[in-house]
Amino acid sequence: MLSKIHSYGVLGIEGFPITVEADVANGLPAFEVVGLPDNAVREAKERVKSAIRNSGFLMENRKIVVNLAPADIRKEGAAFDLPIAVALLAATGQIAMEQTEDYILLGELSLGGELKPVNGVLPIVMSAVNKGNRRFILPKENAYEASLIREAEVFGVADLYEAIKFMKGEISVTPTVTDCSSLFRQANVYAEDFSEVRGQERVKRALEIAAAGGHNILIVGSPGSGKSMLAKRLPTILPDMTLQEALETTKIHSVAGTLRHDVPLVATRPFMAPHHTTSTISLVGGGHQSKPGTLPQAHNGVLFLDELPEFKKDALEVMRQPLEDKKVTINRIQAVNTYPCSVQLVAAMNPCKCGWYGDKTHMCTCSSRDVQKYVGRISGPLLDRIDIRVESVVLDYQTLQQPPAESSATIKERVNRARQLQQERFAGTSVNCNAQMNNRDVEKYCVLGPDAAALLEDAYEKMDLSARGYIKILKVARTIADMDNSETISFSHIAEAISYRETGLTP
Amino acid sequence: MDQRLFALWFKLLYPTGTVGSAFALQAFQNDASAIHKADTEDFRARGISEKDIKKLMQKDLSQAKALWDTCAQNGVILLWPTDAHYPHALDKLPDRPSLLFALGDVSVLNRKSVCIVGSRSASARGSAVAAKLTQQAISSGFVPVTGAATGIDSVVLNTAASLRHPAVSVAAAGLDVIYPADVYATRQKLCAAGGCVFSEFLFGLPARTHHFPLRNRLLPALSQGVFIAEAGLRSGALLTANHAIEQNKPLFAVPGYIDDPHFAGCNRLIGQGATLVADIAEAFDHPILQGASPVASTAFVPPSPIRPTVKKEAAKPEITHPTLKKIYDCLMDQSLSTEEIIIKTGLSAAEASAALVLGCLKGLLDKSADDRYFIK
Repeated sequence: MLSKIHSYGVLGIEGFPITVEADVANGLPAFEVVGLPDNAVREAKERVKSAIRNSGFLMENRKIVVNLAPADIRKEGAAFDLPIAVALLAATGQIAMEQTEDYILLGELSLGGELKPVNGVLPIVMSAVNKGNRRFILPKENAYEASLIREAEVFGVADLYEAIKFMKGEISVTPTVTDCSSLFRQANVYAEDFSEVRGQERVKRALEIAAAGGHNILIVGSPGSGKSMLAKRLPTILPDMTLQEALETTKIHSVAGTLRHDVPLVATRPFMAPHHTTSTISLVGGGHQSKPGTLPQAHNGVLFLDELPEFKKDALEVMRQPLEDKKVTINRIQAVNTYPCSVQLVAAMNPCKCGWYGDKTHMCTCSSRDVQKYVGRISGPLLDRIDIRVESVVLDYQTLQQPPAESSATIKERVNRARQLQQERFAGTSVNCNAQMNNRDVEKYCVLGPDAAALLEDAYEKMDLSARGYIKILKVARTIADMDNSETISFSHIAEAISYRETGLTP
Repeated sequence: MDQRLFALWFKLLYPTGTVGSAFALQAFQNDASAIHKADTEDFRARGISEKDIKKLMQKDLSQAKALWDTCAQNGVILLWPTDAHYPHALDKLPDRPSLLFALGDVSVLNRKSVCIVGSRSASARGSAVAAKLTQQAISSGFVPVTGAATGIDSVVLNTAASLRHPAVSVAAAGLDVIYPADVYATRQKLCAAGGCVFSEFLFGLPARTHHFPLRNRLLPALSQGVFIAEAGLRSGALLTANHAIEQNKPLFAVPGYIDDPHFAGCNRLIGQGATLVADIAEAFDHPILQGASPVASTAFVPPSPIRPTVKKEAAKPEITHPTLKKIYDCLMDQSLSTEEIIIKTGLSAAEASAALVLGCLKGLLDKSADDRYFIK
């Protein structure tokens, strides 16, 4: 007898429908799974056999063929265990086809029949709901994540037995409901706060501007001058995520398998800090089982690259396009996977190889050639994507004894106000913040006062600015003016913006 | 036939100046065509050694013609000791080079000059000192002379070029061989600013280790004095210093911290008797550089009691911007990073950053490569 069960797979971060067909016929006992299964799917037959037997159902020893349609897309992971098991039970008449028709089934089975959580549930539920499928039977641990989509009716079950009983109508399962707003309330709790950072006023100011305008920033400073400490606190002053942003980021983490089952929604901006030995694949994504890498996982959050020049050259180069396009595209033989990655880049580096160039207390042992070489490891195109460059310094004892500084909450309020202005300005366009303005937007929105224009002209000539450097100064000045709640960019706004141009780094 | 062709022929026989070649030239009053015409008897009559006679009897001109063409194609200027623009300061060298290959404006070769050399792997501090020394040398009326390498040499040449002032670079390889490759741009700028680069090595000859000491003897010979801007213990600049001592040229060295390896060579030279450069502004006012006899200066002079020199108080500029004035006062006798300025003045980061940019643009302040501000 033939049976059909509905399930879903994941491509990139989108779900696509899969029909699991099972045919049980007379013949030599066999169990075949066809339809481009990968190893995990092929091994499902052993798990399914044991799970059916151990859940008190009959596992018939006949010729079994399971097909996963469409047959031309590669199926990955263990999420098809449950649909295969139910398809077999339906094909052997242990459950009626009509009773299974309404549901999308997902889940990995253990030999004993318990359901184990799987990755990529949120993108599947979102895609399925869009296609009109609303009822899901899933492992209990995945139920919270799935129920983030309000239209979905999610039934979390513990094992195969419970799933079958529920579909037969012999027991009832309460649909899982998640309260998004309570998840948001629990979010944005940080262990760090800007009040703990004494001194470093200039870096803090630069980070505030970066947060307010969405600018990428580079912090240069000697070892121990607090570059990482400052960078880690950037998320604490970024505006809260919107539900839309949170769902997008959660989708990526769901597919990457980094989602915590007790906190099903990524409502706190992610802070990803890949080590400088990272490979290109772990950075952008891909690999045997295509997964989003660190860069897309930082979507709507902060990507922190500590020791920027130490990163492998190809790792830095591979990030250039994604940082510009705000998406990672991975071409594979089977499909093209696209992951969004709208990230704010924070990079940190030592000023030279030994780290003490320009330090008051330590002697730098590098020759000026060494310094140039060290800085030269970062390619110009990557530096082009950085609007603000700021130097951090080692503090003296007196500064460390100062009372606690301004708290993150106070700074965040100011950032939110500046962002509010930008949202009004860019309403109805694809631009979200000042950093994303194109040249035409810059011309339209960066209105300079007469003395400010004169100052910029003076700087352009005396400081050998490039056209690109000029645009960057205008964008940063726009943000500084927004923080000042000023419609036009004034003299002091431009002067301050000029101070963040990347001196000594651009050739 | 052109005298230059015989000069090239002679140069090919003696690629670098030797005592023998200098003697032969003197015997024939620098007339290369006469040397070419002369036979063994002639040479013997003029007291030329048998070894040199054997060499000088190779009369084939074909190689010289080929080299002649290459030089002409590349616009290379040939300088023979009888030429007006030949650097006559070299005449005193016992192993004076015969023919020189030059590019740029050769008229600068006979101007009053000082040599500024130093480490190839220069530190930031050494580079800054070299730039200031070059600036000061130029304003004191000297043409800076240096090598053709990276590091201090490049700093000297670039500084002069940026001031649109000529400088002289003496290369240790054929002029078409740019070694190291990254000085190409520097050489272009040098020639554009009216400077000159020359070499005694044959056109097309690559740089060899033994060329550098040979070249180094020309640097002090050309100049009134030698300044070592930065030298470690193994720096090639110390060879130049040795030549300066041998040639009885005044030697100056920039001191460094006692534990700074970048300046260990300089400090050792000072210990051995080189003049310490105590003040860049007065570095080139030393009587010995202004034509005083070097013998007089080596005589013992009882040290005069050290009196604090009263610095000419520079007129304090009128600053109307209140924030900038505060910062300017704070920077009076020190260089500070933005962070330190914020702490010292109590200004906000935004105010201080903006005012510092303003100060730089107005030409009151400057920023060093390591992000510290100072009064210009």
